[in-house]
Parts: sequence; C-alpha cells; structure tokens
Amino acid sequence: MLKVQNVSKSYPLQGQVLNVLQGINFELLPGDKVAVLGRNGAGKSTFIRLIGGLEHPDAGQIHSSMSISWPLGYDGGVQGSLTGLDNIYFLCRIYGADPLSIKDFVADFTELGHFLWEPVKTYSSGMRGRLGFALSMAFNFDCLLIDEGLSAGDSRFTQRCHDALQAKQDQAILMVSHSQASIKEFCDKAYVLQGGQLHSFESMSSAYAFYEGRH
Amino acid sequence: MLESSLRISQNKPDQLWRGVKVQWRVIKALILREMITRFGRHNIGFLWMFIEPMMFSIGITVLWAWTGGHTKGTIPVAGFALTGYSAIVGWRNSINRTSGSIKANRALLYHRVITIFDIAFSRAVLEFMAVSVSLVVLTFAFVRLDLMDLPADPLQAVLAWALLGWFFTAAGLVSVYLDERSEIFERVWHVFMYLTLPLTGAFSMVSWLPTGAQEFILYSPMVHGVEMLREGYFGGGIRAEYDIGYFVTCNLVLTAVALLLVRRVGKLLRAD
Repeated sequence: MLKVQNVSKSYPLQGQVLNVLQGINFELLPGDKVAVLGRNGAGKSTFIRLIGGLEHPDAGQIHSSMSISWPLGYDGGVQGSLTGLDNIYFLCRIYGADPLSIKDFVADFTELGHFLWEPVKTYSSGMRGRLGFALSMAFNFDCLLIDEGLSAGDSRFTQRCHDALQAKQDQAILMVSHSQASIKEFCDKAYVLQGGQLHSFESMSSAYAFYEGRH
Repeated sequence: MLESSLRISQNKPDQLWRGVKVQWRVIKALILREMITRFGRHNIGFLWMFIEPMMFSIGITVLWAWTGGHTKGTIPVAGFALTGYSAIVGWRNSINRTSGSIKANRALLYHRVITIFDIAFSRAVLEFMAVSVSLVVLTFAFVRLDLMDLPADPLQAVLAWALLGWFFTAAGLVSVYLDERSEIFERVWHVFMYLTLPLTGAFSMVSWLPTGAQEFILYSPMVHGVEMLREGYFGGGIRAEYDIGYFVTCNLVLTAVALLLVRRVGKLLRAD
C-alpha cells in the first residue's frame, strides 16, 4: 500500500513562497482506482510527482510497498529521437526487465506495426500515448500514475486500456485530471485538490458536485 | 518481472547495494542510448564516435610534424602531438558535451530511477571512452608507421590517462551546474576554453619553460596528468614535472564540489 502522511510542498516564486500542498494525507490500497480532480495549478502534477518519487516533500512522509510507474502523460515518458523499439529496449534496461517478452506485448497492445522502427518524434500524440501506456502495462507496476487521463488514445484504444486494467484487479490507479471523462471510465473514487488541501468524498457524485461548484 | 528496487522507501542500508546495482544498470543504458541517438545506425554509425577525435589528433600531428615546432630533445613529434591533443580533446569534449546534457534529456527525468547525476555522468564517461579509444588506436597506428615507439611504461600511461579521465569527468559535472545556472556560461565558455589551452600542459613540457612560468603552470592540475602521461609514453629520459598527490587531491576536491553542485541542479530545473 501507499501512505502519504502530512506532506507539504512549496516552491519559491519570484521572492515569495508558493505553498502548493499543505499537509496532505492519503492512502492507496492495491486495486484502488482513484482520481484526483483539480483546476489548473491546484497542485495535481506536484502531487503525482511526489508520489512518483521525482521530487521530495518539504515536510511529511511518503511510504510505499508498491512499485509505482512513471507519470504517464501526453509524452508517455518516451524519447522522440529514438525509434519505438529503441525506447522499449532502453526502458527495459533501466527497469531491469526482459526485452523480448516486453517487445511482443507492446507491439501487440499498441498495434503500431512498422512504426516501431520509426523515431517516436514522427508519431502522432495518440501513438505516443499508446506506446507509453503499453510500456507501463508491460512492466506490471503495482500502481499506475496517470497525469491528465488517457485522452490521447482513440475510443478503440481506450476500450483496450479499460479491458487491460479490468484484468488486473490488484493494480492500483492514481489518476489526476481536470476533466471528468476519463475519470468516469477508470476510477471509482475521487478526491478534489483545492487550496493546498486534499478533500475526500463518500461518492464520485459528491466529489463532482464539489468540484463543479468550485469551477 | 520488476525488481523491488523500484519501491520508494530507500533509506535502509541493505538497499544500498541494490541502489548501486540499479544505478550501474541505468548508466549503462544511458550510454548505449546516447550512442544510438547521436550516431544512429546509418552508414558507419557509432564508429564516428572514435573517428571524430581521431581526425582532430591526426590533423594536429600532421601540422606539427610539418612545421617542426613544439618539440625538443628526444620526444618524437607525433607522440608529443598525440598525447597533448588527446588530453585537450578529452578536456574540451567532456565540457562541451556534458554541459548541455540535462537540457537535452529532461524528458528522461520522468523515470525515477534516472537521476541528473546519471545523465551527466554517463555523457562524460562516453566522451572519455571515445577519446580513449582514439588515443589507443592512434598509438598503435603511429607505432606501426614508425612515427614513435610503444609506450615505455604502459602502466604509468594508463594510470595517468585514468587520472585525467577523472579530472575531465568531474569538470564535466561542474559544467552541468554552471550551464543550468546561467546562460552566460554558454556564451563565454568557448572563449574560456581557448584561454585555458596553455594551462592544459599540452603544448610544452614544463621543463622547457622559464623557471617562473614553471612554478605558475604547475598550479594547473591537468598539467600534472599530461606530464605523467608523457613520461609513461616516452620514458624517464625526458624530464617530466608532476606530483601525483597534488593531482589526486585536486581531483578529490573537484569531485566533491561537482557532486554538491549536481545535487543543486534539480532545484534549478524546478525553479524555471
């Protein structure tokens, strides 16, 4: 499980201090599918970067017994100048996974075909998103971090993601977004990040209601 | 499929060894990746990596041999140019190529296992490897062409070259900080590079200089490495002035500074 205790984070901004997160508490169990809603600048990405271990909190602690993916966003954490295949090999090397089985899985899942031999910078954003998502699925992380939903893929791919995620009951998802569409698709619990605080809700609809009210 | 090294709580001592293993894996992957990105798989591919510095050394050697300058006593001109220019290329390339490495690779930092240090270090090591291969190949080529003899004391030559590599790498790491810290660095660097050329010790043995200049130039750490390298190549018959203790001390201090500064690069990046 993942446990976030009293985490605060601030950034210096033109001589002043911007408190992005102030004493956040949060827990994620295996299999939880959780969304964090928030407006632009509410601290969603900071939150996900802290959980992903890309930054460290000023105060408080983050403990995790789960392996956590990189934040999947628009660019999917892949490199433009390398081909799709070279990206696969590179990530296999750094995450210490077997490239052969991963390559087959990704080729099958993304349906990128001969594009795998082309530099990723020639891909459409949807294709990039597919590659990044397929890679993170292939590595079997206990928890997927998703920044701004899976908006990149078309409906066919979204369905495919949906099925793949359904098949892995234990895999947790933490998704941050400002839109509801992809959240409805994948999550069953929602938080709202607002004013440096994380508000939790009994139901998805009460979270939406709160979020809409603040919009 | 994944090792548990990806998990967050990293502060236990038994995880230190695993951390070292992961870092080694990441640095290897980064070096391979950089070779593929920069040189691609087209025509002679990453052979360019060695040929680039080689062409430079060959050009200078021919030039010096022709003009007959820069050498006195028993040192063959080809060997003198080769040792000197390899050192200069190592120094120049390490900083030129390492300083911009973070800017070019920010997207990699999405992956927690990859740190700023890993990116910069792998780049500096790759540059040093390239110059090293170029030095070794040209040494054998020049011997074959009867331009010089095999190194008199190979072990000393290797040790001196390794100490130089340490110096280049640490300097490369410092340049990453300077480059991220200020845009001025990029603009003044090339001028600075030219001004430091006499301080590399590549153009002259220390003993050829006037006494006052000798004392001054021996403050430059790199001079010690180059003198030591040349003694390894051309034997005790030449008069080399160096102090291994001084060079190692300078390297240690520079490394400590480099590691401290690299830690601060992350903060600079986020302040953008």
